Amino acid sequence: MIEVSKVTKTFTVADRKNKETKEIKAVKDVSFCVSKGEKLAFIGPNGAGKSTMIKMLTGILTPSQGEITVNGIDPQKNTKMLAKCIGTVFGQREQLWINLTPYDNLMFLALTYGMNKKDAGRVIQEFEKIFEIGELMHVPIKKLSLGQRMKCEIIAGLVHKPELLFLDEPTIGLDIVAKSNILHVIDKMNREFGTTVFFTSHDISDIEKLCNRVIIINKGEIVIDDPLEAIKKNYFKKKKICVTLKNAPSARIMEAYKPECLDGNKYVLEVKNEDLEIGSVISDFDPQNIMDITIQDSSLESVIANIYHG
Amino acid sequence: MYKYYAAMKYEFKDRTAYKISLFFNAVIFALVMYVMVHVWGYLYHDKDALIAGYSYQQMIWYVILTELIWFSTRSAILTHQISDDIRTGNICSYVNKPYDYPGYILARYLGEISFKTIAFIPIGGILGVVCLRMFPNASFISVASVLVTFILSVIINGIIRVLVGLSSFWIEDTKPVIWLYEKLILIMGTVFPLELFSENIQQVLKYTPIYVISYGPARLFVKYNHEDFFKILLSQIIYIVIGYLCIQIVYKKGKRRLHVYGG
Repeated sequence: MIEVSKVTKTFTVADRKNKETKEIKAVKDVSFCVSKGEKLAFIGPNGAGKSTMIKMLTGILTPSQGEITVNGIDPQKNTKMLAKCIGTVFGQREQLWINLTPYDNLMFLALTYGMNKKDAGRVIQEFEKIFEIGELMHVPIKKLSLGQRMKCEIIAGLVHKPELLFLDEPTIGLDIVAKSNILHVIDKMNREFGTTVFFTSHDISDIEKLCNRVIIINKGEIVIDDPLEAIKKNYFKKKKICVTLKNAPSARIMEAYKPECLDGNKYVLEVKNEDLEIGSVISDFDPQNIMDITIQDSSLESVIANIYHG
Repeated sequence: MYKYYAAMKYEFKDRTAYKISLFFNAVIFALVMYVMVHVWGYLYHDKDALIAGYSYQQMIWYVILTELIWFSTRSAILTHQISDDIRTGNICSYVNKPYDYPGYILARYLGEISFKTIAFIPIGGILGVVCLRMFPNASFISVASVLVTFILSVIINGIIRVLVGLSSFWIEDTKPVIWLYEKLILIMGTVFPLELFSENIQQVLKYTPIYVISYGPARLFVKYNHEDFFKILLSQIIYIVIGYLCIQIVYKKGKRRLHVYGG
């Protein structure tokens, strides 16, 4: 579906202090493939090159070096042909007419994709049900909430039923409920129509809920390209034990595990998987002294933050 | 072409939300026309005299038509949207659509100005008839030819403004260029017919867009002849073809320079 081979993107920027221009490599020699039906998270810290990559894949920016094909099409040479098989949603950009209703906006977009009015009406009705926005269809966009608008933006990217959907931070600024609804419908589109999803977000929980593969890009280079499960397996190397005690732990435990005291008698200790068995750590505590105990993996967020920091 | 017609139609629909703004624009248009009628009334102390070959009635209809073109074609889309889209990176929402971005913008501009023109034409017509107490001395052929050249003049004006807007790929602010363009059109050709300028300046101005945008169609309305009509029509077609080719070249070159904020 997507083939990226040794792609580099260089921007020339002015250095006003030294009165000269310098070249910045936003993407460096990046290669990867995405298969049909995959739900790929393409993530990285700010300025890592993820949006630049999406914009090259969708024909907006031209790579300085390397080759890209999306659905067998060169995005830069055949942008209009590509437009018919991809959908794009940029979370920080608006593409809808704010004085018009979602229905009018979607009808306009459907017509530009070559549908006739009858088919366009049927498709809009279908999305109206999937996204549960029946009551909003005839309200001007400017009167909708951010979450409702974003739903409409996503439908605008899907109205021509693309095979591939690019979502660049579509959940930015949304509350938990709106975010969860949007992720749910994207997942539904993937299951029902086999839509390939290329997703970027800074919210790691979005990625955990939606994606099955993760590419992490940092300073323009791919640092990890693995299934989500493999990342969890390979990088979740610590477990966190939270224990609430009746009395303070013994000096031996304090010496051996150096637990952090959170609140009163609540202690937290981190255990590296390869160093110790969880069972042996717990057995070191006096069972009569334990009031409560929980064992957690490190969060994916902290794992990814560690990867970002190298 | 249907997608561009759709863009024009939905822009027209979008503009209907700006009825109050249109009302105030119409009031300003009516006030300007009222002032112009009185200025020319003062200059034509003897109402039977000719100034630069125009009678008082011809001059008033000339100014009504050129002001109508000037007011109708002042487009928010073409003055701000292209340069804002390029500077803010919002252009990325339009580039990967199955239409040509400059064509889409031109279609929206036509939708925007159709909405304004529908309001301005009756105001201009009523003002002319009330002030002159007579209908314009125009035949069916002259009205039809003016309509054709009027539509083409609107398209040429749009093409020039799109070209200026697309220059945002290279320059930070296009507003001074638009300001200069609007003022040149206003002074040379809108408020004053070209015949009021010296012979040398007239020769130069006949090779500028002023000839095909404001002067040509308005002159046809008051002094129609077939020869002038075909001359203006041919010039307009040449302007449209060359202008659209320039847009395609500039857009293609500019797109390669695109830096989108946030990647």
